[in-house]
Amino acid sequence: MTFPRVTSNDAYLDEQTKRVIRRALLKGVAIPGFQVPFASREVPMPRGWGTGGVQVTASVIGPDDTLKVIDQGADDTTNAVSIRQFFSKVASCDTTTRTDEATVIQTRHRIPETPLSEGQIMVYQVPTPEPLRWLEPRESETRRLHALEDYGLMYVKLYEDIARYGHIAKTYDYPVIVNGRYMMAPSPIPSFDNPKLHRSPALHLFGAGREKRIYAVPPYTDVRSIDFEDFGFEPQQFKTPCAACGSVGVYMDEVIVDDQGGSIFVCSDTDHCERVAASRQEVDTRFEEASA
Amino acid sequence: MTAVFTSDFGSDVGSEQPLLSVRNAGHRYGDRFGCRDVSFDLWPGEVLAVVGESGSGKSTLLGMLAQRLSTDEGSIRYRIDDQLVDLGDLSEREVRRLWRSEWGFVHQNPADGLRMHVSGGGNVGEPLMAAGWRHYGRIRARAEEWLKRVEIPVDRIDDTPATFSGGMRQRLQIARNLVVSPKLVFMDEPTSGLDVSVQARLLDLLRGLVADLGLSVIIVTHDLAVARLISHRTLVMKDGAVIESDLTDRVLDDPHAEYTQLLVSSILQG
Repeated sequence: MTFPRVTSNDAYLDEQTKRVIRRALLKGVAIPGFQVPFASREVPMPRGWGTGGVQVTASVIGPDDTLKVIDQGADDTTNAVSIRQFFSKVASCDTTTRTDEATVIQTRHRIPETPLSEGQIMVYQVPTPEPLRWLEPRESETRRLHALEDYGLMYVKLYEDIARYGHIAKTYDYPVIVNGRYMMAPSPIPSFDNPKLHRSPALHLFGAGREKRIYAVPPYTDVRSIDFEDFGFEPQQFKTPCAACGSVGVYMDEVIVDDQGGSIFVCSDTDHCERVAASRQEVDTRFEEASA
Repeated sequence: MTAVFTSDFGSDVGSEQPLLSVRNAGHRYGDRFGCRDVSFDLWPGEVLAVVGESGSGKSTLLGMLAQRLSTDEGSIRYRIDDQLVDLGDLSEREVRRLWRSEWGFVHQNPADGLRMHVSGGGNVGEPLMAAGWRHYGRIRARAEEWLKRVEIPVDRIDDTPATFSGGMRQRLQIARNLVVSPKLVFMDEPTSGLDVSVQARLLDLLRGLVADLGLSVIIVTHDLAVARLISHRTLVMKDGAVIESDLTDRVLDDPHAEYTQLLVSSILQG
């Protein structure tokens, strides 16, 4: 029995497209935080599901790479699993769920809790690359504002938050100034993760497929969350430790556990949670052995 | 003696120079001119009214002076650090700096000059934030101070202009323009969308602010009463050209040009 063989180029995209994207990436790295337009291609998933991230990953991945894909911090959600399988098939790369083993990490909402290291590449799937969009709908005007470094508008948003809620209410996609120059939307990561971008040893690449923009934060680049002198940037805090592994100082998801509105908080980063829980178990077992 | 003379002379140069100097300036729409061959000097603290019927080129002139429209002929020079600089030579960045820090523009329709879904305080604070203010408490205090000055109740500071009356919106727009202490304010028919009693109060307020702050103002109006009340000098425009210009009282009491006579005599007598 013969199968109709569907063949595709390495990492799905044709070489010409990959070169176009790599050129955009190089420009993005050369001008940290600047949005580089690129011709976004069709990939076998709908726009809005991470096509920008998939194209960037396809352009940087090779058979020697190890890919990790997370969606809301989890490795086991539908989108994460299918993107991982997709690249394992078309790019013949290894895949992993461990942050420290991955060379390329594609993500939408989170930066892993495990500190990133030199040589790792973070790829973000960005829905709205323009941080000024909330206040200025015209693309021609926002590009001019970036060119002239005219960012007073963004502070109007912060002002409105403080006037209305008494504090800066934005908790995700919190705008940052990259390398003291360009204002950048860090994709919809929680403001909790913003400090991890500052002088990170890893390379951060952002791809917006629907909006056709690519931008980047090179390793060891200053990334400052904008704020007022008297109302500083405050990342979200969690009071209770993780119900599964007991971690504190990490980003949590609230999980509803019954019909009475009862809920627990667990780590959003599943890889971190599993490893902390496993090492704790190890300690417990050793403790039991020792006391027996 | 000579040395004293020169140093005195030197210190006087600043005030001896106009703030804005316009020579034979014109703006073209396609192959016809919206306004042409306009020349005048505007001095610090002076209020200049530009009057004329609709279509006479008043708003085109204002747009051209404010660098919103191109200067296709002649020159417009503005005083920066005691030097008259041709605005055509400035980069976009420098023109934007002027917009932010030295000029104001009051639109006829407040919705054009305000962010209708940002609070009153945010609207007044925006020019400050654009100028680099990064202290919420100080921005808010300054916004409150300006709301008081334009007679908007301070407890409306967090309401959006969408919930304000026409007169309040116009006063908010004026506050937003004056908060950065500009030197020159352009006003395009600031009172014409308002009813008569509100107009009178707004003009009164404007006159007080202009005198207090020593502003130079170029105000476009089709209402001669507004020109009479607020301006020192008046330009009369017709078909894109200035047909008469002099002290306001002279122009209105003793109009020379035929068209001005017609304009003055067509004021409704109450």
